[in-house]
Amino acid sequence: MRIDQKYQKITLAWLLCIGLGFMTYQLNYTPTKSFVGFWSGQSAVNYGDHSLSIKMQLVVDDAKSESARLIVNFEPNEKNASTFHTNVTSNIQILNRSGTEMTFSLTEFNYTNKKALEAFIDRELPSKGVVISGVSWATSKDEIFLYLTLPFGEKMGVVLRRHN
Amino acid sequence: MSKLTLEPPVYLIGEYYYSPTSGVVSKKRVLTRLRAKESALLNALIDHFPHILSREQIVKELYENTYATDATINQLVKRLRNVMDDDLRSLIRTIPKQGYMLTVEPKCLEIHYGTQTIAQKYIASEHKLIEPITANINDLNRINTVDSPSQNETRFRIFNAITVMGAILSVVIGYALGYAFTYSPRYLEQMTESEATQLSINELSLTPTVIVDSEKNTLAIHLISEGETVHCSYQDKITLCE
Repeated sequence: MRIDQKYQKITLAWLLCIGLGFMTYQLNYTPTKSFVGFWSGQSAVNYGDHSLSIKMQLVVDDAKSESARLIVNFEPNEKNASTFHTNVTSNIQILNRSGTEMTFSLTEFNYTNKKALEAFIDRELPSKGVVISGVSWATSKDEIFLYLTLPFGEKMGVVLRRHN
Repeated sequence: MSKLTLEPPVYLIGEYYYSPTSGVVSKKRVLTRLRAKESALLNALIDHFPHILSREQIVKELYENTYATDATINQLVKRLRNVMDDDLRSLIRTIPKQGYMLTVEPKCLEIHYGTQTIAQKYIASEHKLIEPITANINDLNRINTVDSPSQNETRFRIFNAITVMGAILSVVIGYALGYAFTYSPRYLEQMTESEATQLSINELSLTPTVIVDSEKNTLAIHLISEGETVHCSYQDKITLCE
């Protein structure tokens, strides 16, 4: 059956529009989109007979930039211990994403009151950054779970909840 | 609104076909229906051709038992000229102080319906000075069935509107397909406490499992890390892993 050339052109234009819509979504989409916002959680790690409280705040920026900031606050977990506060801030950059998995790195560590933390854990932290590795999962729309290995091999899990 | 058709008898006046029966004029396949008075005036002009149709005759034939001023007649003639694109007054001529007349001889078409012929000679006899000429009704019908520019324009606009709407809809469909074919976050498997008690820690840890209460609040998470099972409890917003 011969189809009028005009209708062929219109059909082709519509198909191009479908492709355009598809590409528009793909270009605007990033896996971090679902996680944009402010997240926080708390955990504790044992160092011998000491227990260190770790409060973690994660700020995932606008999805387009695919970046985030991590703010970690350290303080003694025991009430009778001498109080100190150490803060660490770092940027998070997405390195790779494949399917539902993302790989990211922590950069630009910035400590405040680093010495107090080193005294508490009785170890010296590396002067140029620290090596932290781990994995994380989304447990629900507003909750993620991080399981990390800290610089001296300490394991730490923390549930971060989204705050609106 | 009834369909515009040229019904017999049909006159040819210059470039115009005119049907006094349906009150329709046609030029270059554009059909226009005249108003009753316009049609009556054109009929009078045809009847009086080649003589002048005076204002008194117009009043007598068109406005019997009613009242018509010169302005009324002027307005009527102006409307008829407008319909027939006679801006130059080359078709309906004004004879000062006398009246109006057609400048072109109206010719009555003798209509043929296929093999059947309808004699139009009575029209010729009625309009004594008009010589009947022949025309095929199919030709006239062909004229009738051709769309006028305004109809074509309307169809063109509808076609364009549909094309544009289709394009917009296509973009939306494409966007929806983009959403459908994109990975969305996969959440860890959730299990209630009662379900979890039926499984061992090892089984729970094989794939990270979240233990939730009846309100779907996280209570604990089981996972395997470097070959060891890890149990993380979540209470008072603090996570503790063992």
